[in-house]
Amino acid sequence: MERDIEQLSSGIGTTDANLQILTWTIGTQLFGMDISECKEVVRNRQVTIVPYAPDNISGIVNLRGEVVTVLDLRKLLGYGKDTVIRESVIICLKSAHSNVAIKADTISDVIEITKDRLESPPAHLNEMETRFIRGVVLTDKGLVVILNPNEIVKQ
Amino acid sequence: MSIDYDSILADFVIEANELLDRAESSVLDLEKGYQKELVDQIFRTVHTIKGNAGLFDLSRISKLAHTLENVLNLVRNGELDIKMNVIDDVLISLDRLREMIRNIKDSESYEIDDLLQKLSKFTSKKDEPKKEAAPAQTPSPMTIVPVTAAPVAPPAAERVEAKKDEPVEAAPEKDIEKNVLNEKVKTEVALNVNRPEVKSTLKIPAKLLNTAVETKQTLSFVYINLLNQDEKTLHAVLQKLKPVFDTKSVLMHGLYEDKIPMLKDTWQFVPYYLILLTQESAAMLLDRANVRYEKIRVLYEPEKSGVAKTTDTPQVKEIVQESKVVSEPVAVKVKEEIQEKEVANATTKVTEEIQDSKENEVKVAEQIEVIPESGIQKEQISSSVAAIIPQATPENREHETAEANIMEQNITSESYPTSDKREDAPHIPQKSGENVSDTHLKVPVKLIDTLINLAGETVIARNEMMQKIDHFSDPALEMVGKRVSYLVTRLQEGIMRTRLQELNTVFQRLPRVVRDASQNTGKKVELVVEGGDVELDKTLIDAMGESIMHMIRNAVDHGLESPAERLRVGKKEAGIVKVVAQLRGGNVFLSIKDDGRGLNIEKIKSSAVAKGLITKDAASIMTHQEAVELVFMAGLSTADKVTQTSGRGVGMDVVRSNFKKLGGTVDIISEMGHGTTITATLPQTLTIVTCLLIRSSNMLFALPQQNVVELILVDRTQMTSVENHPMYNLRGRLLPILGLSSTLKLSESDSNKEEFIAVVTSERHHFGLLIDEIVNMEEIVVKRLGEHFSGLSFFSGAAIMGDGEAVLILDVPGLAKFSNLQANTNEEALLKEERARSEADQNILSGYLLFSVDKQKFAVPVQSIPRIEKIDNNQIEYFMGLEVVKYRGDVVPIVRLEEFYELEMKQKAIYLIIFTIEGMRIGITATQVYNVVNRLPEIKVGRFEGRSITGHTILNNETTLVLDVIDFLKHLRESRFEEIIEYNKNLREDAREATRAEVVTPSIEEIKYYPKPDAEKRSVHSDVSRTEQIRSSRREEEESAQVGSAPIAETFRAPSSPAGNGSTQHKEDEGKVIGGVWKKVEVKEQK
Repeated sequence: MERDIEQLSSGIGTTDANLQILTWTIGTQLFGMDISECKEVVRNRQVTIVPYAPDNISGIVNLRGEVVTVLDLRKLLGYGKDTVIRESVIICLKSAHSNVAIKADTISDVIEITKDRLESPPAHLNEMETRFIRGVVLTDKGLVVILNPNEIVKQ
Repeated sequence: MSIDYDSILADFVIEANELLDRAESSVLDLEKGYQKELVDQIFRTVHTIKGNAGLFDLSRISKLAHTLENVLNLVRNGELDIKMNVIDDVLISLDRLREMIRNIKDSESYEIDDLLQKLSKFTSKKDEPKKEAAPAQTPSPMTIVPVTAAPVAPPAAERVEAKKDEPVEAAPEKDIEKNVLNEKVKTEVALNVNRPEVKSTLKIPAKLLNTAVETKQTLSFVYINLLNQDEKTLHAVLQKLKPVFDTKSVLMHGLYEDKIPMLKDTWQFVPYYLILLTQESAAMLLDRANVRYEKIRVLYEPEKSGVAKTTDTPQVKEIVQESKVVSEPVAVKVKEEIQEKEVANATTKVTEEIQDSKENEVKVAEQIEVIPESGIQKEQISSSVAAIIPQATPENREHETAEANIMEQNITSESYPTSDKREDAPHIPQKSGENVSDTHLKVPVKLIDTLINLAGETVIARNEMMQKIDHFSDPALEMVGKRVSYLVTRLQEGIMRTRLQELNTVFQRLPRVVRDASQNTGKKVELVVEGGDVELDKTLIDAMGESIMHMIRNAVDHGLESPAERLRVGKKEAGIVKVVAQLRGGNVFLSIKDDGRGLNIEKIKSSAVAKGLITKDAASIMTHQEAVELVFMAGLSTADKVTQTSGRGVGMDVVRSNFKKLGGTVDIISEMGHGTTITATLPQTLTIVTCLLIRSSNMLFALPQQNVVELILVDRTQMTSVENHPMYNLRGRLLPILGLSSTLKLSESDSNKEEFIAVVTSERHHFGLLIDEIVNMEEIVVKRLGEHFSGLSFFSGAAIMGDGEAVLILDVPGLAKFSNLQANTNEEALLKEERARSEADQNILSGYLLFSVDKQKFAVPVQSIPRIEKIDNNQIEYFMGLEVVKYRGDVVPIVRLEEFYELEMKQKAIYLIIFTIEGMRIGITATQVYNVVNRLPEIKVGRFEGRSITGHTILNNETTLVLDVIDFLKHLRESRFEEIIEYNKNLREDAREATRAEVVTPSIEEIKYYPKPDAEKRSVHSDVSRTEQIRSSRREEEESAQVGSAPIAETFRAPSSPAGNGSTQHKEDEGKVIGGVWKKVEVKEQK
């Protein structure tokens, strides 16, 4: 999977003008992230809950022998309680210093957009929410919230 | 091509540190006695550092190294005696270099003038008198003959071979070099044959030549082919060469590397060279020994003419005749002030020789010299071919004989500087240069960690695959699967090993520590180090290095007496500090032993009292060992005054906590007047920890085995609480209890599922952890948790299980701290007391195992848990007419009680209870195995007579026969059992010889018998509670289908109340053992 993504990103490539966006859903909302920031997508991994961990952390998971911290985007973005979905997908992010992944409900397509279609986050969001959002883009499937991985990893 | 400056710099730092380590140990060796090659090595090291520093513009490092190099050069040339102050200054300089290299970015800000001054004192001191004496004293001046087009010879002091394209190095240093040049006693001739692909440099130290000149003997270079000696084995060849060596005329010898054929070639020859100093010609000597030689080249001949051609060897002549290929002009540069007539001669000879060598383009590179690595290409044999030319060549063959003795003396003399010492020198750069770079790779730790992760993941994937393969029942596929499985296991083992490093990385620093400590204290110390080849995880080595140093310093400073005192008490003047490392099981065992005065118990006690660490009363009742252990308390120091070495009172407590942090232990034994021994154990690797897997509220956790003291089954009646804190009455002591589930808020309600207490201990805490289930013992690979969890002190990491699940590892001290448990510091004493008590209890009967044979109930007194196996009829064999089973490499005879007592048998016996008595295992059959009870009602003797029956008792309304197994065995021994014993003994010895491991039988199955049960008066203390035993029981569990060892074990370990209170021994629902229920024990089927 890792290689797949890399091939995708290198083959078609996130060029200067274009962005390759990996999209997924949480509830009904579509989220996306520059595919070059994603390392791997895995399914059906049991997330081990860590007692007393910060609220926005789902737990830890084993990814290729690495212990990866799984962030709960719902909590992070204030989407309310995590409804229990057994078949969750884990998206591992590329990060130099820490192993961080985010949990999604279902994984969706990789879409290609031009950079100029990226709009700034809606003004009614508060600062806490906009921190993680790089922008939004309107696609035929609906509004995709493009996340900023750097801020997420910092969490 | 872009160059990553930082990474190159990092390489430089790593390399420089290694070099400094090497140099330091050489300096210390040098202190013991002058050895030429050591000086050379130090010189080379410093030189390399200088060169590299120059590349990075680290001018201060470079400058200091350069000055140091000058001093070393003087030493090397025998112009500066190695005295204490020289060694000291060299060491200080090395230290400074190390410091500067450590802070490489700030190295320019370091002050080095003080050292430069100190060092230059040596050089200038030597300079002045020498300047005048030089021309007269140095009969062997510098002669440099570069054959290359190089117009100027490289400064000799640089010892850097000028390569064709780099004729001059380090021009700015020339001024300094000049001084050194003046004093050069070295003759060095560099020839560069016109064969760039054969870049060979063989140089001979000028001293050899001097010796030859002085003793008027012939110095020759001989090159022989080991495979051309008409001998079949190498050994025979060496035998043949022996006479040559016996004449003591061989100054240097070794593989002649330049001629070694490529590996792909068929080996027709193994080139070997000898440098011979002979009175006669080398050819004659060799002929006498019947050694065939490829070539002899005379380097010096005590005759009139200095022409090399006047050699006896026909080969050279032939070569000369072939000569056609002179291609380059020959430049001869000779220092003016030393131009004398010999030099003129020499020059002529040089020229001719050069021509020789050029003509014979394949074979003439015969001269050898130590070549310090150039600054840029370290330890690389440089590119030119050098020859040594004698500066004086008066020859007189007839005079040879007279000088023989002198030469002999020179060679054997130990005084320095002697020329003969140089003969070994050439081997060093080749050795260190080739071996290290050829056989070792520098690999970033990160890469190794990645590999370890991948290997772990591969294992998990392999397990999954093997399960899938099973579904297909395809033999071929299974074969492949097994092979892959095997390979993966091997691969993982190999990769795990890459993290291990030899302890030598720490041990090689010890001599320096000892030296400093002994200098500071004025004590004489002899350091003995063993086991430097023991391998240990790199992180552990890094983390414990300082602790080891500290203990060594302690041993010297506190442990050893002053030389005078030692002599007075009849010990050798020099104290011995012995450091030994051994690998035992998965642990590294380290001991540091001195033969000094031992710990002064009274002084320690009074010091501890004075510092308020213990009370006076406590001190007065302390045992010797307890007092010794006081040294581990923080803040205690018995040193009268704080010295540089020790006495600051932050010592052994830090050492102990360091080792504990690494999962190890430290103990100390001391005997007054005979010394102190500190022993420490460490796991070989931190990444793998043996853990007890437990479950609480359906979550799996790993509990490090080193923290687990015992596991007990909860007896609710023993649960109490003190001020709302739950406590457990464990053998009359209150143990604080933490519910894991409630502490970690794993579930909302207080579950009653918590059936077990894991008694855990850490440095400061001792408490019970209430858990639901004990899963098993497993060796797990520890992974760090992400930084998001840095606030969670009660997890030390995570582990990945075989099924891929991530499991959290509990941190016992963290848990205690989190729950605000009071530190119970006297726990150690408590533990010891318990240990002592359980040891005392060893001989006391612990319980009775209840079982039945058909309807007849039996009770057998047991000390610990016997092994219980399910009988598999296929496993029963017949041996000498007896039924036997094979069990753990033993042949175990089966005794059928129904036959023995002629019992009616309706139900088949399906269990085998295996006892070990006096080293002999026997198995007793049973149809059902029940519980272990602590005591039996009154045993009545006499009514049921029978062999080996102690008596009978009524338990739960059933008449139970109490078996006397010892007597039982006695009966059996009288029969043919002896033969089985004998057989087993042989079997065991064979096995021991075959594999040394795994001979120890776990103590858990050792059963001691109490011949006359007197149970009513005794309370029972379990001695099987040590985790070690749990571990072994777990291990066994895997090996055999075992009758619920856990239930039995747990029941058995269930704490007993004080004597006389028999009915509360067990859990309520099963507790009424006496006159109570026969609890059936479930049997776990073998997987």
